[in-house]
Amino acid sequence: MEAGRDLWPRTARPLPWLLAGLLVLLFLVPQDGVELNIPSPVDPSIDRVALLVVVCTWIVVAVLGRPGGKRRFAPPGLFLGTALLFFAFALLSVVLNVGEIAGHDLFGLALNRLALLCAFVMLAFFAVSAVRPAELPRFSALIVFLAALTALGVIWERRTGFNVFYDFFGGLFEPIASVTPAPTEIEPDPERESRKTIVGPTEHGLAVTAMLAMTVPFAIVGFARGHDWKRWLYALAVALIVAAALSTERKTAVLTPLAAGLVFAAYRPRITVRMLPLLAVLAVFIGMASPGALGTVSELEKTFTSDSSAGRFDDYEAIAPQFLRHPLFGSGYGTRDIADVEHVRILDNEYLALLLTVGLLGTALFLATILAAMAVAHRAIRHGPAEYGDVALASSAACMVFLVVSLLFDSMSFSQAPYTFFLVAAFGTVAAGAGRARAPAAVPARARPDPPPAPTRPLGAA
Amino acid sequence: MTFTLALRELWSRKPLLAVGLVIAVLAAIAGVSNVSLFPPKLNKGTLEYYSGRTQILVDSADSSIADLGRDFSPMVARANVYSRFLTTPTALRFIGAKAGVPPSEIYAEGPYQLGQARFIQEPTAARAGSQLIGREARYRLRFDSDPELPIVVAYAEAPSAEVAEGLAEGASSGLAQYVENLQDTQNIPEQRRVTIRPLGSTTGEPVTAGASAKVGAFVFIVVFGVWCLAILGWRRLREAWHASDAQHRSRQEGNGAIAGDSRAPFDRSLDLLDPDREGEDAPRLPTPR
Repeated sequence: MEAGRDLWPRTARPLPWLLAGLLVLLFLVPQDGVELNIPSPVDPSIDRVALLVVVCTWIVVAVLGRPGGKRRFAPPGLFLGTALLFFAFALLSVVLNVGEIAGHDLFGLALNRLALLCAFVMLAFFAVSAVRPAELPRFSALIVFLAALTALGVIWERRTGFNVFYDFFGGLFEPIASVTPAPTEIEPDPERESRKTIVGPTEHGLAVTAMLAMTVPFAIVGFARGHDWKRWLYALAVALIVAAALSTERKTAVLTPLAAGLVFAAYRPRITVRMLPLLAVLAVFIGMASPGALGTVSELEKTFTSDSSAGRFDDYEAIAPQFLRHPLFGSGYGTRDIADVEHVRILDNEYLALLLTVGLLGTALFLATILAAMAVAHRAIRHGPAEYGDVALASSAACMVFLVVSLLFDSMSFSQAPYTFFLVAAFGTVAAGAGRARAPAAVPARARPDPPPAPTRPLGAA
Repeated sequence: MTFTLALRELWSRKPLLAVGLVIAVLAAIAGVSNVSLFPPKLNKGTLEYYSGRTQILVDSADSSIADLGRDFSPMVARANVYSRFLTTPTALRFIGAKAGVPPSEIYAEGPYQLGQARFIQEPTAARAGSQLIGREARYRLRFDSDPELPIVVAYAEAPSAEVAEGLAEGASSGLAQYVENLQDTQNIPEQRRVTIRPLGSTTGEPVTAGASAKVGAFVFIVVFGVWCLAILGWRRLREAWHASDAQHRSRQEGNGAIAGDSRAPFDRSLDLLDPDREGEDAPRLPTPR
């Protein structure tokens, strides 16, 4: 098969298919609610078991090699290297405090969180290894399609209280797994909770909001680049995804598209301005698709006065003693047991939580991981081929969304948000590698570079 | 192929691997033990903890639990007060003496307001500060009292089952002795005296069973793994350094050719994870500038 045509989905290469399967799992199956009935040293949640299968296949493919399809691009290692460093630092933070961690019966919890972090980083490495630059637009389309499906499910959940992800997709695993009931609540007791509990395939509304918000840039790029009916399908996807995010009634759903919009405005100001009038159409659509969801926008007025905001400000003072005890290396990654109500605060800010667990250095590495993903994408946006540059732009905007959501809640506590981040950041890395030839190995005669993409103009170019 | 190459590369550096093994073993031992350098000393660590529990009934001299006509309320109020008192240094002196543990090494906390909204129960800065002191304590006690029952529950944690049981029982007998002393000092008549009755204790149960083995294995794997990665990474860094030297020299000489891979070291190390990569033995030609 000619390398240029051996592209997903028209390929027999197993790795892209495995990645597509992981994406389906990420967007449709409630990972936190499905625990496989198998003995395991860490939580046998379905995502980690699936990733283990994927990694084993990956190793087999790597060991056997595949003479017909050598990669001809060199992805930059900045993002992956920083992510790996952060993981190594998380390990180190646990090793340094292992006595205290084990003495308080937190070692099992730390191991679980480390296993999850390892899964995030592994997904990024796997995605970079599995996807070819020419496949990026197709995988971007898959992400948008799956996000639109998720959005439909979330909107339906808000209207009916039926959570299709837990009750149908989760139910498919019941013969081999324990499936928890959906936490959905569309008629909450006003004395206890003022907002509906809409969670989609996650265990918290914030997680599904973050996940959807990170896919919006890909849909916008598809809309701006698409032609004819495809363009309007992307427009519909943008509207559905934003409507679903707002359906969770979380302020994060309003702030995150703004964060993504800033990145678009910075790189493609003209097209951003041209799209602004479409916001009115978007608002009308959201009003019809998910009545009441637009009310979330008015929640922004209470940003500094609501109880949750007051709690956020109290967090800074409350964590000071623990932070000062281990300022540089923290008390050990993943050692905050939020079930221990009397000793552990729920911190609505991932950076604060990381300051406690991995210290200043670890938090700096976490931030560096996000910024590295954006820096890698920057090269592709500015200097890469236009088609890949647009994927890199979407990736960069999605990374910005993750940077912002990490300020608004403990983003690493809900696996879907970091999974999505590491995935889109890996896409940015692949896009950045598209323009870089692998050096210095001589390119054998049989391995010609991928054909360059059809000449296209970058988004917003005159 | 590439994994095999990495393994072969590691195997070719057996002395370095041996050093890594020794370091990893030492780190694992240090992780599960108390090591001191001056003077050199190795003590068994305290990673394994045991818990004990006891319930204390706050009663009257002629027991109120068998009399339907007696009101529990005064006892409930006292149970609440005692559960707070038991965390004070005075009470810890009594408990430590009964359990045979230095009071200064005991940390006690509670009671907590159960069933309240989370933001009420979560630690404030002041409470977090005192809780941090307790994190380092070898002996830990926690007292809870039910707002509707004249019962104080004491939970104890210690590095051995016997001490955990002793601490839990010490809380009961220590409180009884303190109250009795107080009653004697104040000459309180027998029929008006509060009586502290232990309702029974559990035997010491392991809280962190097998922690030493798990922790030792974890530290060993992490340290040895990082060591192996460092060996591989060091080689690539060195090669990249030489390549940049060659690049620099060739620029100075102006001969228009550079040798080696000029990519950043980590960019090159990605090759190890790439199933589609070129073989190591692929011919390496100068890269045109």
